[in-house]
Amino acid sequence: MKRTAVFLLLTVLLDQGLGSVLGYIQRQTFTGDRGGLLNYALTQEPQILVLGSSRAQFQIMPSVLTEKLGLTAYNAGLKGQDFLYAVMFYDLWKRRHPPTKILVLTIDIESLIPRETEVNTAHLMAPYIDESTLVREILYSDSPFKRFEYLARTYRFNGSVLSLANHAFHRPPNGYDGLTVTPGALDPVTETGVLNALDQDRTAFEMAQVPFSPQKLKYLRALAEETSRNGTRLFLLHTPIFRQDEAAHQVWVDKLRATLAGMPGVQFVDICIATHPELFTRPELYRNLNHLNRAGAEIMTGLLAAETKRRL
Amino acid sequence: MLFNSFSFVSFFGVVTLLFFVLPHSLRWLMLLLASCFFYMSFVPIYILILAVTIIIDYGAGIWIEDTFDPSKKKIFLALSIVSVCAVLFVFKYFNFFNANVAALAAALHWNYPIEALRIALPIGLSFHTFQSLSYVIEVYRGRQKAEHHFGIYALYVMYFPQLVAGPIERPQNLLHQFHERKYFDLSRLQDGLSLALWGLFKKVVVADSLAIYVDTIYNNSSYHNGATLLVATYCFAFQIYCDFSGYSDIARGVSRVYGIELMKNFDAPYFSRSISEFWTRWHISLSTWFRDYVYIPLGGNRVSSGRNFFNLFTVFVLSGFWHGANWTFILWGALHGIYLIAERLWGIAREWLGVVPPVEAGPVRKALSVLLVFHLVLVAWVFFRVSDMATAFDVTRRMLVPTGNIFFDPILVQGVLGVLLVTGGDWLIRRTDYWNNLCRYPVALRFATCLAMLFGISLLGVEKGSQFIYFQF
Repeated sequence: MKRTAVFLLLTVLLDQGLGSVLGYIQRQTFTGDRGGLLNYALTQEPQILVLGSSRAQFQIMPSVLTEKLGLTAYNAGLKGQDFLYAVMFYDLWKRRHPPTKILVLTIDIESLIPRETEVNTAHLMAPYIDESTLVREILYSDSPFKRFEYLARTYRFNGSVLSLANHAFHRPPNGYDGLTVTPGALDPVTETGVLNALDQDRTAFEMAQVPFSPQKLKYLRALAEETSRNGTRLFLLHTPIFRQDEAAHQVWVDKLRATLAGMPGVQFVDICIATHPELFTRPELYRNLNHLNRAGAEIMTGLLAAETKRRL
Repeated sequence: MLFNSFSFVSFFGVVTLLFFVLPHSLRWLMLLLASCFFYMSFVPIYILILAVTIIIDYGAGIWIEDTFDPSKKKIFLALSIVSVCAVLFVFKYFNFFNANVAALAAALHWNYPIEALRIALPIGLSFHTFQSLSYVIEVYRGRQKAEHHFGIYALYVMYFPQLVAGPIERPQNLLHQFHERKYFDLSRLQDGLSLALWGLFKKVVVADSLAIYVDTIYNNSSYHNGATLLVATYCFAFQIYCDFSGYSDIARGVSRVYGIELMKNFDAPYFSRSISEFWTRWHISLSTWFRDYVYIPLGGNRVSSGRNFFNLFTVFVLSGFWHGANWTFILWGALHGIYLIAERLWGIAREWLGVVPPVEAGPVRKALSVLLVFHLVLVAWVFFRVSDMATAFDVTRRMLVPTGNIFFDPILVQGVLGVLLVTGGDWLIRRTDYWNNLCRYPVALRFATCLAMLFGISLLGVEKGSQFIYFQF
């Protein structure tokens, strides 16, 4: 029995110790998409903050926004993440910096519907769990056992250790603005084949018909109130998808506009095949079905800047 | 309720506590209720199928024992086997046969009106069917007394640690253990938990990380080059090993906590130096089941070479079919059958040529044998992984000419490191019989091993990884 007690004590002490060491390394690491980039983004203080998934990270060019709007910009979008990551990030960011002038949040057909895997991928925010009630609330919502799992400090770095080891203490180059350039061009035949081969559990049209998650709407409403209170202009941006399902898009846009009608101050900017068919039906502007390449991103960000300017 | 979930950890904690708090006379009931709850956490209604199997074989066992007339015994045995297998056929094999008959009818321009059944396969059906069958056969052979306590018999079929993916136990090993009085033993609890932890490590750190890479490649196999397919197949070989042996270790570890020993299901199979040795180390409970109840009754190796080859081939084709109602599984089994026949032929040829193999092979020869066997098994795994024959042949063809740049995913690093660790661990465990001699090792070493596994799982375990592969069988 004594040995068991010693073992349990050792486990707790080691967990706390190892967790603290990893926390220290994490705070000093500013590259790598398993936490480093997120950490770096939290240190930035731009006038335009871009948030969202890879469709923000790969497609919105802060340099173009700065050039057209005369405001500093940083892209804090992150591959694999989505709406929940964005609200958690903003909650942490606003504790560190004064309000930004413009907040751009990319949003897609699946962003506001309930998705089982989204909280799981947002586990990336776990190292910051002690800092924010919102982060805790979202991460705990994954399962009734989560609040116990997160008691383990090492668990907060689950899945990030190898990336941390690879990027420990690295900093991005000077002038890094969060954009990840995606070169290359789309081969429509191959890409469509890949898409069809993937196990898609729901089609775009099915997703468009799913009611928005009450939990996500609560966070969106809170974000809208917060930004409206501190003078930040909040733009929800929908970006192009090659061979977008037009019917699904229309259903989704109608539903979104109806929802946003109750949230004054939130602007919806739709830049896609439906609004700019002459541009975004061109495969040479894409890297793959869901992401524009550099040329496409430049055009899309230009359109975003113009639209933002018009609405400011 | 998967073994690699917090809900199972809580369930196990509660069951363990109750097990040691309750008097011996009530433990079987508590374990049975816990097993029902465990099974019903998947698809509740399917417990009725399990109940049917249990009732049939419970009754059959008693009737067989009570009857002195050999022909009646045979009839009871046949009725039991046919009815239990009929359940298996309806849920697992009907659609396969139906689809093949429909395809044949279409080729002959016949009208074939029977539609496929829209039913899901009950989890672990093949496992508990085989376990139930082994009981009836053993009673028939007079090697096991019929169990008169219905609850204990139901527990034999439903015992939750091995209910959904084995090991497929024999009544001689398991049944009597449910009758024995068990006392709380801290060192046994520690040993059991350590073994379960090792299994969990293999599943969530190694198998689930490899699964991410394997699924990415195999779900789009036509878009990947030969080199990438080869790497993905190597990964799959270790994924399925760590997944299934991980499950078996958790099952054995959990059961050991209660003082109930389950049979060893894996014994470092990728260190085998022949295909026949591989099958004495891989899924031991299934291979011995087929040996005892199919291969030996067919005549085993006490027949002519030709008949022996037929027996071997039949057993392996059936083994493939046991895994899944698909031609790919049948071919996987057939390939292993062919390997074994080739191995036997090679032995015969060597004898005929008068080539005497060295009594103790050198390290290079041993290593080459291990590599050869591993790669033969590797080719067969392609058929196990894909869902149709055309893809299987396409992947095999391209994999055997591994050209092009390998598709890299960072998760591969974790998977490969995990494979090295598990391979080294397996080698050590086998050499030292570690899990059966834990008390001989210094406490510090045991602590360190457990802590390493615990923190390995906490830091590297894949969250919400895939289901255990063998659950589908």
